Amino acid sequence: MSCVMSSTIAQWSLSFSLVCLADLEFDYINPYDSASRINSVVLPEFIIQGVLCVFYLLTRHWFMSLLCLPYLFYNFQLYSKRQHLVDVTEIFNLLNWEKKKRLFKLAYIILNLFLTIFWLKLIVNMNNSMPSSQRFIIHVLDSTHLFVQPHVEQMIRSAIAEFRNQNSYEKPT
Amino acid sequence: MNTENRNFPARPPPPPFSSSPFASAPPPGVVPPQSGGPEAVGFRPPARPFTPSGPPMAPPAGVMRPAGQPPLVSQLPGSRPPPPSFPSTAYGPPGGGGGSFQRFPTPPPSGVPPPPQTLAGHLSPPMSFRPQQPMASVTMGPPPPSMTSGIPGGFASPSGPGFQQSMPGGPQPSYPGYPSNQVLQGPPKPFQTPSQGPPSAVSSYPPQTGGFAQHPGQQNMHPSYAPPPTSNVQGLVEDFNSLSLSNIPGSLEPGLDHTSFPRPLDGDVEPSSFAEAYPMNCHSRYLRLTTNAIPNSQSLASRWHLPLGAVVCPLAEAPEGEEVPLIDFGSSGIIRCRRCRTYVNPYVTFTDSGRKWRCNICSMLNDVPGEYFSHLDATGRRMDLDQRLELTKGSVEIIAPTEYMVRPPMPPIYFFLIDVSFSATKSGMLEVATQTIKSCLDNLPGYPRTQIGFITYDSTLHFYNMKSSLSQPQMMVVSDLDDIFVPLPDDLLVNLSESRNVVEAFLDSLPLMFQNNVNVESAFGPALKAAYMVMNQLGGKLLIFQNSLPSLGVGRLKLRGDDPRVYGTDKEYTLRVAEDTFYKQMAADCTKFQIGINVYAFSDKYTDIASLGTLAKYTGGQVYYYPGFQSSIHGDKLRHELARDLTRETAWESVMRIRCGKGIRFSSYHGNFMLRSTDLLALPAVDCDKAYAMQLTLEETLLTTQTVYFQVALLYTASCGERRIRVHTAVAPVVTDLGEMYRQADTGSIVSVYSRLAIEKTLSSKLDDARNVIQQKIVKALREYRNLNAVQHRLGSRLIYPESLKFLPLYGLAIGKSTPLQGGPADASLDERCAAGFTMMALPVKKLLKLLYPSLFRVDEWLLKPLADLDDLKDVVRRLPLAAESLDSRGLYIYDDGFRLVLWFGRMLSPDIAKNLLGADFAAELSRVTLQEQENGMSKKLMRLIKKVRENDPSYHPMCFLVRQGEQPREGFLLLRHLIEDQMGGSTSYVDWVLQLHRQIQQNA
Repeated sequence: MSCVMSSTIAQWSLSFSLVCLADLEFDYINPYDSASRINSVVLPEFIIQGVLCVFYLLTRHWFMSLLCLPYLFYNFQLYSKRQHLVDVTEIFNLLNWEKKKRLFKLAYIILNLFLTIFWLKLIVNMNNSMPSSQRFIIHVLDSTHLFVQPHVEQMIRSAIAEFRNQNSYEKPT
Repeated sequence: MNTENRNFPARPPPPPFSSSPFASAPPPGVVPPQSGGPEAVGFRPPARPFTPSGPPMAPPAGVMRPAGQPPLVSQLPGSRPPPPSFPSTAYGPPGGGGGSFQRFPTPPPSGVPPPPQTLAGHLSPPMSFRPQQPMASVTMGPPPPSMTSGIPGGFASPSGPGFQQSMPGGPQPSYPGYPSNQVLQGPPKPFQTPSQGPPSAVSSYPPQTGGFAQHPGQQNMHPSYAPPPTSNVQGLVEDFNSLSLSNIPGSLEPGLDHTSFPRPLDGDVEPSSFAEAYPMNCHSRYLRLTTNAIPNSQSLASRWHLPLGAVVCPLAEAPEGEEVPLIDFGSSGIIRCRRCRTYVNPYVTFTDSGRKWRCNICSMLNDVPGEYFSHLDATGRRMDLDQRLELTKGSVEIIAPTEYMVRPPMPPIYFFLIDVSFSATKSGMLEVATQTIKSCLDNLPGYPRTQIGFITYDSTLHFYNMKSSLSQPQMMVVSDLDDIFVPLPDDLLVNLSESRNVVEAFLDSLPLMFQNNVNVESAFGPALKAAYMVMNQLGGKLLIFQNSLPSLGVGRLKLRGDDPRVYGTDKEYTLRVAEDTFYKQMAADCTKFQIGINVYAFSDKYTDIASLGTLAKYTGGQVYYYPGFQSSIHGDKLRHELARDLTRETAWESVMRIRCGKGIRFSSYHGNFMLRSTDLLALPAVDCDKAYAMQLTLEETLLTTQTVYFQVALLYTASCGERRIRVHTAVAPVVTDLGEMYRQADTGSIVSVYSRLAIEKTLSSKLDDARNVIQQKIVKALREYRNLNAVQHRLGSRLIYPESLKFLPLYGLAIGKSTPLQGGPADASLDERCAAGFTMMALPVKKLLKLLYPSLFRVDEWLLKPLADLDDLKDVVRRLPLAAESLDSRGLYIYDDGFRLVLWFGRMLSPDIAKNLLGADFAAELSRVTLQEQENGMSKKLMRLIKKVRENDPSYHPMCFLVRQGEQPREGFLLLRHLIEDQMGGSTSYVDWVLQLHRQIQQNA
């Protein structure tokens, strides 16, 4: 749950700064306001992304945390070079780069979010595909947890294993 | 139209018809006015006399028009019916679009002469106007069938004006205009086949001459030059220069005659043909395009590797008699396009019998306000054109009404932030500065509204209450640097005319007050903040006098420039950017509140100009740097430059925008300013010594228009308290041909953009990289040019370049050797580099070129001549190539780069001269001698010369240095290192540089 929340916040802060940049480009806002607004969400975004990564580690989602690492590293580098904040004097020269950077980050986080809720979706789909009498989901807790009827556990596991098998490739010997 | 004409006399301001330019013309309907007239007169500045005969088209089409055209036009009218449809066609340059093809100075395309020829032949055989006009060219020209079918047909048709119209508007292939030449002629190869003409001429240049061969075709540049019939083929060939480098394998063998390399010894030569072709463009001192031919497609633009853009100097000083006229629109309000906000200018057209006007930039049809209405005459031009300067001049100044103000126009405000620490008083800076300020009080612009204020600082801040009722200023000391507050709400910034006595008393006492100050600290950051707090109500100009590294409070800086190990590493560039974000932030805030900052720095030690200069950079200011200031040596320089800074006409709280036609867009700006939105430059205080470079990009893949218009608008508050808009308008033709772009290139403007790009590059990478970038750009451009011509000519080992760019390689070398970019850490101190960088970012084109390739001239012979006078400076100062070879040890030379004058005494110079000039201590070491006027004619003469050189350009005061040949290391430092054609240390010489370029051009060529 918290994963989804933090991804969403990061997503929001990125889109917010993107909107600010776009506004600036079309002259709806002056560079001073734009820069201060963007800068006010830069650090929250960095922190939340860090928290997300740590959270993945703690919950032993190795793959997801690995996926987060490059992003975290990049942020850390920007911060240590003190280039994380946009510079009001140069903002127009860097406008395109700042936009591109944020678009990439946004794509990254959306991918993240998607992967997080993927298995849940798989199961929900499976549930929906069954006749109504056999539906097994009792309650969806959040994007990563749900209550199901006890007898379907084996079925879900096999379905996931099957999906993984379908999506992995073994080198023929 | 006719009815209007009848109303004519009733027109409110009735300039009698006879006084109009038509007066001298034959009665209407008989000859030219209706035909040539409308176009010509519409565009002609009223002052220009009308020449009834000959070429009435002259003004718009310019002298450049191939000789065949004018006769054609002047003959046509007779047969042409009165033009009812003229209002739509009377429009100039686009109408001149016809002309715009032909107008190009360069080889009159062979396609052009034929039509006049044929026409003239059909029409009035006996009246062959130009005997030298190549009759033979009919055969050589474009396929005649299409010509004759196209043009005479249109000509003979009853709708006579259709001819004029069909030229710009008609299908291009049939139009004999330049660009379509290739199409008509088919592949360019055929040019080669005729044995006469340039191809052979070029290839026949014996390699051993080594000169840069001037292509005969170039003479076509001469407006009056009409090519002899046989040379018509030449016209089709690209004119280019070449530099024979046939001895490349043997490297620098004597065969390579470097004395013939092109050198800009005449200074900056602007392409004048362009200005003549468009007399209503603003003068090139205000706006200079990098090429006066805009590419019509993105693909063409991408092949043009040189920068595409402009250098704008909106307030450039105009010589007397050419001042920008001031216009008041009064009750009608400023006439602007509703859609694109373009100001009314000479290139707009009036239609619908004067009730509407068409914007030249976005072609929107706008209503003419009632107060501005004027009838059109039969030719479609306004009756009151002579009184409307905004419709005849490319540069005007418009008085802006209150809609253009967000607050009442501010008074001129000068605020001084003066370091009074130990070093400032010891060097004498404080005294010189206060004296100069005092002497300038009378000349500060904007009397009686001018306001003035002072803060001084060492480890504490000192505020001065200068209320007019006081007899002596009151000093208030604030020592809490962490929490700055302003001790007095007002009276720190006072009206000069009211508090004049107090201000003078203050300036007199200031040096005395601190003469025994032993405080060496500098609380610069807090002082800047305090000044900001005092000024942010109104804005103004802040002059900072800084003597040491800021050491206390916010914005304190570290001694970071002393570490040579950083050079050559990836971190090198960080030394050249502001260390503390405080400076950028302050600069941004100052711009927001209309505060422009000029930084004067005086220390002989490291002061981190990189950080301090940031303040000037983003507030549209300037950096003055006097390393190791001593009042006895640098006093004069400071006095002059400070006085200039205080008294020159300044535009306050200004913003600048440059508009251009549809399809193109200015995408990047370079110089000292801050961008307030994507295309709006915020310039809190701007003056005549500041120029801004900008680059444009094509947004649409294909431009459909014939011409592109540019309009620079600077909205500012004049010192007198008037809000004004200065508008410069220019037009440039759109071309389809890369060769044409090269022909119309403007080296000065290109070099200006390049040097700014290079300096910007040093802020994010190594010096080496920055130099390489420029070199690569030049190589690419010349390679493209070579490819363009390689098909037609056997070029052999020649470096070829267009005539217009013949100095580009040399200036490219000069950029690499200029102070901000040269060599390694040992070649220039970090502060010098940064200061020069900030300065060069703001320099106008001519000054920059002089700085890059300074003048060097010999004066001893002139001094010895008894009767020689200063009448003609040009005769005296015959510039020499900047190479050690130019220096004769028996001579006395002056080196002048606009910032410094170096007097070089040859070792064998006759002692008389030295004695006459230097007085008794002529034998002493020259570093301790200052040049003073002696009681003899020769010395007086020299001083007069120096004075004259200085007066030529008052924006900086060149300081005089004396050096004797062989006096090392001073000689090397002052002069030899700046002889840019020589090889010094790790740098390349001119010859090597050219060889290097040539090699690189041939790779992957």
